[in-house]
Amino acid sequence: MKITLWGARGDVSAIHPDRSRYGVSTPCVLVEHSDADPIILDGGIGLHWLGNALMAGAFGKGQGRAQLFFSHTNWCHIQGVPFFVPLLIPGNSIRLCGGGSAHGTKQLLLEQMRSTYCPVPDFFQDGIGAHVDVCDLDTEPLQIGPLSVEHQEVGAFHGAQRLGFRISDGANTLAYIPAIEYVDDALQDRAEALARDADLLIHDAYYTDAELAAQKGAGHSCPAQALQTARRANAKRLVLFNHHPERTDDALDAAAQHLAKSDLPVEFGREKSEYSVG
Amino acid sequence: MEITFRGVRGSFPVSSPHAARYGGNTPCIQVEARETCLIIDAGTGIFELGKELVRRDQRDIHLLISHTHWDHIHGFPHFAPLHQSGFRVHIYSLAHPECSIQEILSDQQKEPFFPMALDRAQAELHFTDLSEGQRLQIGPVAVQCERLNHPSYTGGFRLECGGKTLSYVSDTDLYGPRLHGEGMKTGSEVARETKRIELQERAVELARGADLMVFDSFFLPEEYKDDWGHSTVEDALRLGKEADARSIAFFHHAPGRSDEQLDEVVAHYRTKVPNNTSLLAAAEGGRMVL
Repeated sequence: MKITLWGARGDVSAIHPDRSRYGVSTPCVLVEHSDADPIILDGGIGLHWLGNALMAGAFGKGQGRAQLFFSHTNWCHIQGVPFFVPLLIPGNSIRLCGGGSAHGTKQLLLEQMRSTYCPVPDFFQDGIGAHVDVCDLDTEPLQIGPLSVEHQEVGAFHGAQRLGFRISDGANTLAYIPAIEYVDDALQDRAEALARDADLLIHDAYYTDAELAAQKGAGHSCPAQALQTARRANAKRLVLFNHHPERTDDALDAAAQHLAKSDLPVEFGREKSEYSVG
Repeated sequence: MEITFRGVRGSFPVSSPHAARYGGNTPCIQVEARETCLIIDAGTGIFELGKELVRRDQRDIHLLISHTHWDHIHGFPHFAPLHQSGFRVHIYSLAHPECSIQEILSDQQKEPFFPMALDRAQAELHFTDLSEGQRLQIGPVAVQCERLNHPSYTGGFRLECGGKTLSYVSDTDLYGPRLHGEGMKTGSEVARETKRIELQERAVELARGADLMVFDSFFLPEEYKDDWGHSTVEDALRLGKEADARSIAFFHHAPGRSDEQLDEVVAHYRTKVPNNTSLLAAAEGGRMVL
């Protein structure tokens, strides 16, 4: 499996020179496997640039197939969808899957396409752009070629049901938990189950360890908590993700240096970073 | 008036080296007129601006929203003054006949899309839906709003203060063959042609003698698409000439437009404007005192 971060920033892509090295595109992660269609985790602004890269291959010819999974439907995890160019190309086949919260994933994505907000052609309609399928995930794992995709609910935040994902080809495993607030032991157990023996864990670290105490109820976690989950789950490598919109490159570098003494490899996710698993 | 470009990019924020110099934040312009603080559009450029306004305790803020496509409002929920008690944010936008600007911005912040509902904002919020051609006075600034040729309901603005004028004409397909706005596309061919010409005349009115005309220059001429609702860099020059604007700023740059391309476009078209007209491509952080 090859994993590429196309966006690792939380909330809003507020561009600033002090945040240019880690990037400010909102969450989007590409998972590639030689025997499977591309899997995309979250549709933040990074999804646009990923789409442009995909257009150089089968998606530019209307022969692409992809599966996109949303961890939840806060804007920063879906706002790139209208600008994902492969959706506008007839012949491509793209499935969009989410938890749906109380509304259903399709209803939520259509809300984003309302004409007051969005001038992009409505590719959810038949005859416009790609073949687009939208599904609400049930509890069964999905099989995409040799990859199984499992999900777990990892809490809810102001009406948005949040999912974590575990993608495995049997030998190698990626775990993705981009947004979580550790409110009780049950949630801790679920996060650990997702990350159990994972080769790579991508985990929310929106707050610093010092900030977290004052952010009860704010919906996110910190590097120390991510490390705790990674250790308890025996994950091999940890990538911290969903950085606060104001966190500067220097602050992330300093925090990374502090974490360099950890017993497992830890780093802060950077836009365009690639990881090979297996 | 002192004008600062806080976001100049169209469609969505661009976090990429190709846009590092001109900037990748979506539309937002800060206008300071004596003690009065105005902002045009709430793209991601409003994020840093909001923090600055809180730091300097600017308690009255007037936000003009040209239209409610994502790139012009998606910075709004992250605008720091909303979360400050004692602050007053006055919001103005061209009226949409089916939903007020308050409803549209509130919908942006509802669950499960955003964790904080707009009615929980600490600041006092005042909303005004403007009619076409409406004029209003905001402190020392006289504002005029006219409709532009762009999907949904889009307004352009003319701001006059102390004999100086800023014109904001974005987003619009000013000289294209089609009408784009809701409610414009029906009627006879003659009626539609009349409307097209009327929209052009209104844009000239907005830009007449402007000391700075900020214009939707999304396309290069060879890229132009007639079904998007955007103009070209050459359209900027044409309106500038028809309206006798003193300076023209290309604005709402396409996401893929590189810094080098913008340099080249400005260098190329500088030779094509009258000697007394200056031409620039809006760059984030760029400041002009009128």
